[in-house]
Amino acid sequence: MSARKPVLALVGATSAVGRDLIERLAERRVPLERLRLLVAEVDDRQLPDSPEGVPTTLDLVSKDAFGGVDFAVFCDDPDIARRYAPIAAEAGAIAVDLTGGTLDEAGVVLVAPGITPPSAIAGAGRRLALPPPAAGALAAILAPLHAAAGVKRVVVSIYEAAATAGQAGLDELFEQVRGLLGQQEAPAKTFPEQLAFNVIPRTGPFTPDGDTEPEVRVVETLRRLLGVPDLRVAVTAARVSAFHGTSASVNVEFERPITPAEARTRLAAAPGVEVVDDPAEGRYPIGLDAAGQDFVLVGRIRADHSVPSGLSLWLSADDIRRGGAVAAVDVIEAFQQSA
Amino acid sequence: MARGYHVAIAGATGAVGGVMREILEERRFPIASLRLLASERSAGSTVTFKGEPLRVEVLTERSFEGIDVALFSCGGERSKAFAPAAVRAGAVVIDNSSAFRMDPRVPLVVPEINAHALAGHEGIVAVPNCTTIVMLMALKPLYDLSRVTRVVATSFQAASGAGAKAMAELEAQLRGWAEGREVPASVFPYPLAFNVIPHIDAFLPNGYTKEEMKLVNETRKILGDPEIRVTATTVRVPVLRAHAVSVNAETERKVTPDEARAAFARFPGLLVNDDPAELRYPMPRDVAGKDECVVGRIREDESHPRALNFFVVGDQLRKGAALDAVQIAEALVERGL
Repeated sequence: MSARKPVLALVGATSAVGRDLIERLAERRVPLERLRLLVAEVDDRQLPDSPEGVPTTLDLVSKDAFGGVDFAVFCDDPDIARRYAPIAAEAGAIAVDLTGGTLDEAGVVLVAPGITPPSAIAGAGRRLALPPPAAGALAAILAPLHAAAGVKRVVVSIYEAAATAGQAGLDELFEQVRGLLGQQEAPAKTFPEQLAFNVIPRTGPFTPDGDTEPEVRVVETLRRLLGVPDLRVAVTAARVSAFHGTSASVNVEFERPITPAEARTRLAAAPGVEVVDDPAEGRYPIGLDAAGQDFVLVGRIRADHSVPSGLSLWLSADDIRRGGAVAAVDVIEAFQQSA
Repeated sequence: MARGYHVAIAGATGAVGGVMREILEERRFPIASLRLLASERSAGSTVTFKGEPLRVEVLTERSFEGIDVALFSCGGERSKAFAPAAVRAGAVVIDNSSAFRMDPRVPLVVPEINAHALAGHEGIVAVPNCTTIVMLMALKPLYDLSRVTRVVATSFQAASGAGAKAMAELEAQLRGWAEGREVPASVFPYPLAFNVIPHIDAFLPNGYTKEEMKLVNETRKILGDPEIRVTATTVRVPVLRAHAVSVNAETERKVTPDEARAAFARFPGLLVNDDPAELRYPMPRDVAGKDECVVGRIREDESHPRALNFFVVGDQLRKGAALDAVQIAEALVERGL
């Protein structure tokens, strides 16, 4: 790509990820020629201010919307991504899918900033997909540990916030809590059950084996990102009564011994990761602290003596910010660096 | 005709103490008299038992004259201070705190699992940690099918585990949120509303919390298997009174999900709610105020040749504390104390 400033299309611009992405573009001063906000339907919510000096338009998404676009970022709806990402790529754009909708399509390359080198991102073709946020956060901490000691098996329990179900999920939790405080039940629509003050051990449709699709997707994504096709991973994902900030408890069995101190050093050096690990001072990642952070927070790093070489860890990350918006900006910057 | 017993509750005004009263009444425990005891701060108030007003007295060393069964739920320090006096006075102490759990002379009992451990007790019986009870209610029937060699337990714990004040703090934080003002954390290390906090009880030098090590050590003692390998991460979530545990269990021989499901369904005090196609799985909300623990999401763990994943929930105040204590009292009555 030439050094000229790119035209960026955000598909699903009014979604939680889309809105955060607009703010990140301004904050990171990503040089843009134009910003084209595309939506499936017009929404009366106010959008964040677009980056200063960047001409911005708002249109309905259509197959003709991608002419002259350099990057088309699909923020929210997997069906929209499946439908329009091929069209955008055909029109000459680099389609970046944050929705997970095209992850398994032929010709789509899974990239994760911080794990995939910028040159590899820039050379990956016109169809890119980012990992589902929980898988991306797990990969960010497992990749450096895998390089150090070889990951043998991982057991993960995920505490997912409402935000990964999009704006509708956030709105529903908000209404439910207000309803309960007013002693009246707010019905569940986005979630299968009432989420407020509850834990729902299901974050997506079930597979015939009794796993959920998001759980299977975490396993598959980790295998691809770590480059270990038969990596052994057990995942349970549950939704908790929180707006932002997904956390995970991670037990890792390694091929070779690794001490908590060494893991801490490796993680501190890993891109996109921040170690928060001083229990004596009450410092460890919590869901609320991760909200609005660009980094995966990792802590509670300790030896797991139930296996010969094991570690227990705890992470918190903001799915919308770190898993979506920041990852998308990183991808665009990777192209610009490699231009 | 069955005799009645003179019962005392130490910590009668706490969250667990209140539920102990409810459960004694519900289960028609044969009571001749009930003495309610609390610290000086809470003593003097009046509560209702079987429709009668009862005054709460101050807990002292002399509180246990003529008492047969003393249910303690007033914190480890007071258990250590007053349980020996109760035993000297001739009572059997059933202690909900962690004070005596790992004492080799003290049986640590979940009646469905190890009522036999009550034999030869020396006056004190301990109720296990609430999360340990909820996890073991599902782990034990699996263990009986095939010895479990390793467990990775990850909890989703309710506010009630930290007492009535903690429940009030979570509610106050939510009200504050709705009214746009911040209610600072005092019971919990951070605000719990809309948060997830991987810190319950104090941190130990090995990086685990005391709560996590309770799961490890109490599981070994209750199952009578000092070799079982357990690793735990215990986490507070914004739920009022029921705990959940995500369990990954490795077994000596391969157990299929169907086999496990059948064993779970047969186990007293445990229900199976496991039909993903119908969106049926256990949730804290469904077990609040219920006696039974509920297990679901029972599935093969393909990352291991012989492992299962499951998710178990239970009311923290009931099976996790007060109900277990009253069931121990019933088992003691059956054995003639």
